[in-house]
Amino acid sequence: MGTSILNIGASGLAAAQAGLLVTGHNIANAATPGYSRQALVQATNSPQFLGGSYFGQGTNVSAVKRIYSQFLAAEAASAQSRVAQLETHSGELAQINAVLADPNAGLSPALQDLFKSVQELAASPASIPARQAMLSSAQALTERFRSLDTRLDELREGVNAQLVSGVDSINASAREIASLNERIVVAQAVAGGRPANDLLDQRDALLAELNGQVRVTTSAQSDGSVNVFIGNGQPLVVGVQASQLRAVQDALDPSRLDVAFQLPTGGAVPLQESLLTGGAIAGLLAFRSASLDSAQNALGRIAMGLAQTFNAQHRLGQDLNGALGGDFFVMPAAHAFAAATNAGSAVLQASITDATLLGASDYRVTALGGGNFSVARLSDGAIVASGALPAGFDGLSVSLASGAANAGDSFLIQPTRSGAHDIALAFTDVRAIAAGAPLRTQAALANSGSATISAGTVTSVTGLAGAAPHIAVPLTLTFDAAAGRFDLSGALAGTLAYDPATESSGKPFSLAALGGFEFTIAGVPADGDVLTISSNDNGTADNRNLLALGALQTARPLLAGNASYQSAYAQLVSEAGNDGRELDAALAAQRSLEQTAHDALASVSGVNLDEEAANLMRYQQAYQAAGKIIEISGKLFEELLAIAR
Amino acid sequence: MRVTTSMIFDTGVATLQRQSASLLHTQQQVATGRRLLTAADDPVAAARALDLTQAREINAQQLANQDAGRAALGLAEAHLTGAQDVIESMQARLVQAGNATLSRSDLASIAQDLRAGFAQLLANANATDGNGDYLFSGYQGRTRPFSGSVEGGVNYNGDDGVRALHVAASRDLPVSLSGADVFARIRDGNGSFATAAASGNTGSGVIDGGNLVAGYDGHRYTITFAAGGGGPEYSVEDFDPATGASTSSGPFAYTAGAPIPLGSGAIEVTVTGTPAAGDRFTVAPSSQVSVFDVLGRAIQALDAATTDAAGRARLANALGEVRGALSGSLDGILSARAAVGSRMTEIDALAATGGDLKVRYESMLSQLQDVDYAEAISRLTQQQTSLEAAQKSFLQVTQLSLFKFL
Repeated sequence: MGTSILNIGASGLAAAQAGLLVTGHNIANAATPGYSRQALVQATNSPQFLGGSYFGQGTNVSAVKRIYSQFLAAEAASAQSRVAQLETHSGELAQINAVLADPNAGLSPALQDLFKSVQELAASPASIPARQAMLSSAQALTERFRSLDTRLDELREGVNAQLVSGVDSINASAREIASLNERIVVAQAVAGGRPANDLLDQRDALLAELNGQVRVTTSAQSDGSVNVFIGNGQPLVVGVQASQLRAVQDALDPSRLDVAFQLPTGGAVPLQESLLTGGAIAGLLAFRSASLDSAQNALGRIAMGLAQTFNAQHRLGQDLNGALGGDFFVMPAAHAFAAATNAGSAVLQASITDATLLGASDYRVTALGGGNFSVARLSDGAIVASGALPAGFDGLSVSLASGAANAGDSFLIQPTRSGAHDIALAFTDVRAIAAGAPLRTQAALANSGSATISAGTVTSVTGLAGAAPHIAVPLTLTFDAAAGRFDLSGALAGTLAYDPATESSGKPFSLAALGGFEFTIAGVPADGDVLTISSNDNGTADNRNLLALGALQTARPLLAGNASYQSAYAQLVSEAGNDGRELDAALAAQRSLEQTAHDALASVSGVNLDEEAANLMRYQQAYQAAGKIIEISGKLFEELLAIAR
Repeated sequence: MRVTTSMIFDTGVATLQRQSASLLHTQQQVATGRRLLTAADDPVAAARALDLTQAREINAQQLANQDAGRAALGLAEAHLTGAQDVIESMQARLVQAGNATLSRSDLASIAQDLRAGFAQLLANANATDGNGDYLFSGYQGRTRPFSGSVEGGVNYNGDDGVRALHVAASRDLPVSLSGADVFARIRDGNGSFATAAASGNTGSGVIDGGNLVAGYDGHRYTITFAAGGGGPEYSVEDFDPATGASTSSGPFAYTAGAPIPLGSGAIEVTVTGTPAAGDRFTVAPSSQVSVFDVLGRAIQALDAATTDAAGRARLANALGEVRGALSGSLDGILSARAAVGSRMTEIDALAATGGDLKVRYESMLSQLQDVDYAEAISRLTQQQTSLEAAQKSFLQVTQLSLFKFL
């Protein structure tokens, strides 16, 4: 009986000591990330049947249990993965927003400066300093385009660098999880299937870290290991084997890296972006395809639209040397890439037919075999053209430059990606600014009638020589009163009907063969009165073309006639801003979800120091009490010896 | 719910961070004075602010263009006023030259004055702006618009180009004048028709400028004198340029100073003095002459003047033609000045509107993107207070521990 009391006391002492150990462990790890509190699983020993009754035999510690909920942990990991994605996307997008909408660093001030300098030159069109000012502000505008584009390129490089480090971190986590799997399997086998709590916590922390990079799914195995899958079931960790991911260059676009699954055989299979649904990696990919590409394309589109429309008007003018104006900006080119994996040799050529009709999307061309292709717009997936090349769509023309394509070959068309980078000034000679118009009009001084001819507008360069004089012989309009018409002679032959009785308030004419010249005749000409249209030689004080260039500022030449340069840019800013706002709202919502999930998990698994303090006292008292039992058992034995003595 | 120690710390820290972030945002708004720190703060307002900024800049540029236009017009006006003074003084000299008692040398000295006036007028017409560009040569800023001399005549080398400036939305205001319009498109005579005496006239007949009674038909009339039985008589040839037909009427008896009706009385001219047989006077539609041609004719007539009766009549006829054209020139310059004046008035009106718009744009922009300091600072204080409360309560809650009592 005495032995039994001693044994009971000893078992209580041992259990209380174990309890103190577990409590101490909990206290020590209260601040360890990913730590799940542990609890003692204590049970009574099998009772002994003695004298017709069962007598308890004390206590034993059956296990140290990890307080943990698989379900809540999965919830928390999923929420955390989504938060990491949104945080990354929103953080990167904020950088675009900061650059675009800055009142000093954005495109707007540079654009306004250009038109300001155009207007200032219009006040004194022959002034060399004013011409230099206009060239300088145009130069500043191209620099601004380029610096915005460079900033976006830096973000793209940043995405690549983060993808590389993200993939490295995934690989490291995967290796550690595999090695923890191995240790857990061994440890639990040795312990007869009892959980290796701290190793499990370590593995769960690694899984959480992995989820921060990319969303993974896990499946627990009976031996204690977990298998980890990525994407649509690519095994990242199976038992003790870890696979590897790699950041590889995109087959179509060499400037971007993709996440690929490394095959044991050596190759790598790119994981589709849509399969990577959470974590920082997904945030980076989403930022790149949803925000960065479209912002850079939209910026390039503005640059190309500006170059095309400004050039078109500038070419209708006459420079200080008397020559017709040339291009003002270098028109950026569209780019086409063939996939590195293509079996055929086809090289595609993309060219801009009308920059004002361009969209902000890239296009994927797929060879269908037999010389046929299909062109898909990446922004909405619509097939915009199919059949043999060349194909024209969205202000763009795609043709086969050389070679032949095999069925399944694919190509990427980036019409506007490099627009903002490639726009540049076409000349540096201040005299080459076409301020005037190439033609001028005059009513002969000897006219006795009151006919006047307007200054007129040149709408094309048809029939105009590049250098002065643009028309060798002036066009003379001689009024024939009897026939009610002007007879043309000189540069053109023919007649223009004009009835002074009804049309003296002004009748518009257009000469398609002569610069598409549009002018108005008004007043009452006398018979034989002469009006002339001649080359504007020495017309250095003429500012008509500058006024036309200046009018482009408020015209709506872009987006198929729906947007001015400024409003196209404002649209870009507002789109990026709206995206940022949506992301911030989604992030705030997701953060509170994550907080809830995290709290729910912490509520189950976390350590409460007050609780541990209470446990400390409980086990301490239990220990003291068990000690007393042993003491009493000793005393009983003494009593027994005293009786015998 | 079971609360864990790390929850107390994590939640507390997260709350503090959230509050700090709001506080920082408000602080940045106050520090920069901008409500919109990035486009994401208010995408619609950000885009609208960009558009408004452009509108404000365009308005500012139009104000600058108005100033440039005002300067250019002011310069042109100064030279027009100079030209007007010259022509007015020459008109006075021409009236003086009409005095039949002047001697040959008096006429020569008037001719000398006119030559000086001619040179002065030429200088006005060839005026340049601050850049050395000619004011009145149309588009050809580097081409001297008027060149020539009294004897050789003056040519206009410029063109009809008129430079405009963009002074308001869809308003390109002309800020220059073509020299042809100001100096070279003078309608001689009375604007409808001009009278002239043939250069070979030998009598003392002087024709006046004529009188428009009903409406001029555009025909050319030639009045030819002959020695009739009872004194000079004349016949009239009526030439219609539209048909090329000519009809003759007369002879009629001549009475000095009596109106001679032409074109069925639509116009009438008066001849005074005694025309000799064979003397001819013509009436033709007004043509366009330059002020320099007109002055040149006057100077040459004065230079060639003789003091006999026929000579005085030739001078009187020549000066009569010139006076009509010169008052036409003055009208041309006056109307050019009026045009300049009305454009400057227009600029003033536009500048007033532009000034208003400037204020309006500034206030709209300010509403969109500037921070409301009263609101922002009270928000800052509120956020500061709540952050302090969070900090204090965090401290208190985290200080609670059972271990303190162990």
